Amino acid sequence: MKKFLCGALCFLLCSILGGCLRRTEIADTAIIQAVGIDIENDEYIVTLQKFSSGGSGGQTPVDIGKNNRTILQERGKSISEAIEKIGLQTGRELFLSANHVIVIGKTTAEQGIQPIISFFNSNHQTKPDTHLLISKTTAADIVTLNLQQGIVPADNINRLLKHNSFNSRIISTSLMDVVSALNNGLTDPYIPIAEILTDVDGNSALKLDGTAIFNGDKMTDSLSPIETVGLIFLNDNVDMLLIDISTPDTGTVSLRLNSSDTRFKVRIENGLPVYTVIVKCEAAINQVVPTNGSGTSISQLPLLEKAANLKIAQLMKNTIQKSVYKQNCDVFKLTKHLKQKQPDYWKTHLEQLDGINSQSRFEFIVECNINRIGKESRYSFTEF
Amino acid sequence: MIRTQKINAAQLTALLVLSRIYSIFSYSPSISKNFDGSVLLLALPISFVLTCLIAVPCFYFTKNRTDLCLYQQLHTAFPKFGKAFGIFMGLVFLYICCETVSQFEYFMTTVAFPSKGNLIFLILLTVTACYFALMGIEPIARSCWILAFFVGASLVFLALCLVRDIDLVNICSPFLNGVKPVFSSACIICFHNLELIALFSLLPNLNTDVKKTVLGYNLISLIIFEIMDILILCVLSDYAHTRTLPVFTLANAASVSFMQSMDAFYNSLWTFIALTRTSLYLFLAAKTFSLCLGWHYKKVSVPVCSISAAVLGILLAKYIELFSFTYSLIASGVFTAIILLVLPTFAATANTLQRIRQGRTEA
Amino acid sequence: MSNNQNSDKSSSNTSADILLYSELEKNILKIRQLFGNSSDFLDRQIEICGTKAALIMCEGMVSSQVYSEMLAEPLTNLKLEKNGAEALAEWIRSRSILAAEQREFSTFNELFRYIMSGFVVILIDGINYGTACGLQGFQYRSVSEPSSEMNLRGSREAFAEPIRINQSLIRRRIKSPTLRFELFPIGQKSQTDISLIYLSDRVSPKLLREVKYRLSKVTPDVILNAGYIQPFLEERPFSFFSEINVTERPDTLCAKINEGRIGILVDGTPFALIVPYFFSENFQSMDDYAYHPFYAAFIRCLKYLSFIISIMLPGIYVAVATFHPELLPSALMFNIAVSEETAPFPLIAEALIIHLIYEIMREAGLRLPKGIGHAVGIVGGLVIGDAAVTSGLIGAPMVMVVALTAISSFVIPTLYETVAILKFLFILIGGSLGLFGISLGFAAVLMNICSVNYFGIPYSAPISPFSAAAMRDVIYRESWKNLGKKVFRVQDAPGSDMKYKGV
Repeated sequence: MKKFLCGALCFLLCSILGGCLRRTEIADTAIIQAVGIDIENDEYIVTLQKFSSGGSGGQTPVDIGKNNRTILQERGKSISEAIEKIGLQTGRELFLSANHVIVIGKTTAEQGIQPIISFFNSNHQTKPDTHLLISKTTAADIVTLNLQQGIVPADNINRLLKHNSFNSRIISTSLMDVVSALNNGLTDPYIPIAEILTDVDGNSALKLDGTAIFNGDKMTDSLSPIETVGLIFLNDNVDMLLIDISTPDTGTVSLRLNSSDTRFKVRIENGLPVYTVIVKCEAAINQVVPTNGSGTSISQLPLLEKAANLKIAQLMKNTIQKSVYKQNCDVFKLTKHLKQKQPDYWKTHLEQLDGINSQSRFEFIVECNINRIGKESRYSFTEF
Repeated sequence: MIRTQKINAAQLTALLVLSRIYSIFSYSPSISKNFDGSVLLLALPISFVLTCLIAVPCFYFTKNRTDLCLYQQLHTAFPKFGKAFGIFMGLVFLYICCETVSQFEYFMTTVAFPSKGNLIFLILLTVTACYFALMGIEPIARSCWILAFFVGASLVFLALCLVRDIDLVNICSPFLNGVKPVFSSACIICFHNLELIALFSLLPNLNTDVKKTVLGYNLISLIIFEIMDILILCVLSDYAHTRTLPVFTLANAASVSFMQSMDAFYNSLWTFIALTRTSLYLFLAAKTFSLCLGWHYKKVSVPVCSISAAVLGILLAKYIELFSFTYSLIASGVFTAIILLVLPTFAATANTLQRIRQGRTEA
Repeated sequence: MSNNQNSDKSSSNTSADILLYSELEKNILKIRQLFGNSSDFLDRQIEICGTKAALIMCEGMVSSQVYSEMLAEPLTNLKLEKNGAEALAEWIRSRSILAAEQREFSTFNELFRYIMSGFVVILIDGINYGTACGLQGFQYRSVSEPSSEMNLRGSREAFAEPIRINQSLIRRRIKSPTLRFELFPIGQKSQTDISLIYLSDRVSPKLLREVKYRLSKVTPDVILNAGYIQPFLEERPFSFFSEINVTERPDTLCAKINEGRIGILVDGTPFALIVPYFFSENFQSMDDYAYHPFYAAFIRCLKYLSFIISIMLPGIYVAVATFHPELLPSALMFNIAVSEETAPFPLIAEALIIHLIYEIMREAGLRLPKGIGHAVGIVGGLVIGDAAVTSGLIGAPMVMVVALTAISSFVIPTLYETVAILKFLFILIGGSLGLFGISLGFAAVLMNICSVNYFGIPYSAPISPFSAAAMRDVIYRESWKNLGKKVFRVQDAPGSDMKYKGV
């Protein structure tokens, strides 16, 4: 009897197991690598870059010498509708979990990114660390770009974002960062901007060209690459940044900032917040272009450090001028600093916080310490 | 060979910790109270102290007869109402079991497998928990000890992957909205601690000092909760409020080297934890019913409880309002208050009065 | 058929009870009646000092040279002061050394057992008991290298078929008077000798009694193999994990009995059973104790990892590729997608087919004669490695998974049966339910391990219930300076009901 019951249970379980979880083989999915969203005539244009192997079987299943992508594009009243149409077109289940980047056209960003962000935030396949990018033209231009190297062109975009982020040229923005900023209601997001160029061989290439800043969910302005450096300092994202400083005595010196620490202090003066930005960084001399041929001596390091301090402070000032004063964008989490350091003030002025930042004052204290002089020796023996 | 199933301190602590941390793994701001992360930082240590305090009446009541479980001691103290207590406690355990099963299924079909059928998760979890309960509390505790290592190592790994994304600007004063949110959060967390009831119901199976176990299990739970809170607050910040499952989102956001996300990995941990909790409460429900109603443990009690848990779980999963009500009823702490505070206090008082009367009579 | 079996049982039961007669002729007649006209039965009736006697043996079981020198010559040249059956019997009993082992018996059952064990039996007319002289000379395989438990630095001796030779291999290694062998026959027909081996100052008396009790319940008539009695010793014969270890190495057996375990040798089997057994001991080998502790720890961790890989890798691969491809790095995902594009079967079917083919080839390789066995490797490599992939039947990543799984399973030979079954189960579970199913399956296997208590000793000890002291030889191995200080006794394992109480 026991054996019969066991057998019956096994049979029941097998029959349950057989068909209850819908299974989609990996080969039956459309692996999406990049998504582009544009708006035209009140319609969303969704452009998808799908992995499609150009090679076949043999020793290497994926031939990286070939163009392993297919472009899918559809229009719809909503993003969901457009994506559904694409699904019908391709006959496969769309797999967005492998999507590296969401590109939004500039015009679309200026109209508001909330619906786009909301769609991807509620999609269970989209990962929170998916990169966002603004295209100077349309998103479709970037997604359809035929970039060489890598298995798919989207790999290039991903690599570009990572590399530039590592070298502190941009701050790579993820979906999570943007949702967090938008949900807060007081801070604003920023997203890197990319443009298409033609390289020396005549091939299309992608270049990151600054950062788009938003007021709420609408793009209001963009920071140039120089201004983006200020943004990087203010958001404490410095990592292996290169800055050039010039003095009459030393010529042009290229400094590599190996690490940096930015802190905010907030005090209230005359009913308005005063933000003190304290930046401490460690730098190394990367290259020296001397003006008078004599090189740079250790005794001149304080001079260089002072010049670096001034330059960094100026960079941050320019960025704040454009984003806070001109566009009233809080891309530096100023409101959060205020909440953390002056909670009572924050609580009492909660309703007016949106306009307060543009009236607040900023002070900068920068301490740059050059602790390495590089491989090239420029000092005479008598120095020692 | 007939074996008396005894579990030691380490096994019991692992069992209770795994059951307890289910609360944070399945925490959802959309269903339960929306806790402020900064408030929780302080509320959690306060709840640790409160939890130790609410265990005192029950500890005092049960300390002289550790060979009997809480139900048996209540039955001894109130012979007339003993069966009623037993049925009540058994139903509470069964209720918790159903809630765990349905909650697990609900979230699996929300975030992990949204397009899949819901019956399969529920049934398989219940069947596996039934198998566990049939084996007894000792094997459950032994396997929990090993699972606890996996879970602990995974949580440490998850935390290490997210450490570089921590932004301390998100931490602000816990007293921003006054003192009340801190203490009310502490009380909610404290009374949501159903594992204390489980501990006192497992007294005959324990081979350890109850005081040390309560402290140990509470401390470890506190540490895990604090770490999770810091990660949610400082890594996800306001993003967490837009997600159904913040802890799941943490795993989704974590990446290291070639591992691009750990949400599927997290699902395995979650499954282990849900299985532990379900089997623990299924065992307790079956044992309580077999003690008070005289059912045969393996042949009647466990199968009946398993089938009830599965059926009720399906109902709860199907009707989200009912599910939300179930969750809030358990989260309100009414069961903890009744079973850990009210009943033992009454029973201890009655025993003391009886002893005084007997002493006077003899005098 | 069943009636014949019953009558056979009753006749053998009857012969066990019949005492020997005093008359030699009667004894010989009875023997012939019971033994039939078996061609290997030899009886030589002679007169020794005026007394009739018979020498009875089985052909091919006795050493002719030893028989001649030790038995035949002394008996034929014997001169007694006083003739007669009693005197002859007295001389044989007290004043002769006809063999290293000389025993007296009084029933026909014992007579048959002795002659079939290679003894020469002496029956004397007028004496109602016989004398068995151990002059074994049957052919047997000599002590050779172990075939399944290889090692680099330890002994290269393995058990042989004769039980007495195996006993000597153990006695040589533990020269202690506390080492005991309890020899007794089991199996109504085969009367196979089995020997319980233990150290009397280490073993738990309760454990010993329980083992003897279970052996008394062995039902088969014929015991040809240690595997016949294994199910009678196990608590849960249908569990995936066996609570009984099988070893062909004498040094392993000695190490285990030193920890209070009991070894069981079965005559005719070059393997010994060891009870009880922990799950963690599957990952131990004699070489671990010869290496440095750090290397031994590394090897142990490798074994645990190999075990996990061998049972779960195919299932996890199928689960991840089918239900959770987001876990895969992009490049790997592309390769799998392209490989599976042309494959006609879903991943779960591919995994099942390829693993089935592998098991068929492995089994074929075991059974084939050595000369042809090499061909299996070539065919296997061609069939699985190249042809299947090139023809598009299966994807290349699946071949890698099979190869890694197979190699990992060879690392722990004692768990091979378990691995083979669990591997298929996890493939089915992973292909149907994804990582959720794998997690439940893993938990169920863990429960299977944790719920076994062999004679009250937890199978999962000392991992769970945990004991830091007992863990000194589980994941890592402490230095011998510490290991040798205190001997671990199996009945002292954490969670054990059976504590050492002495003999």
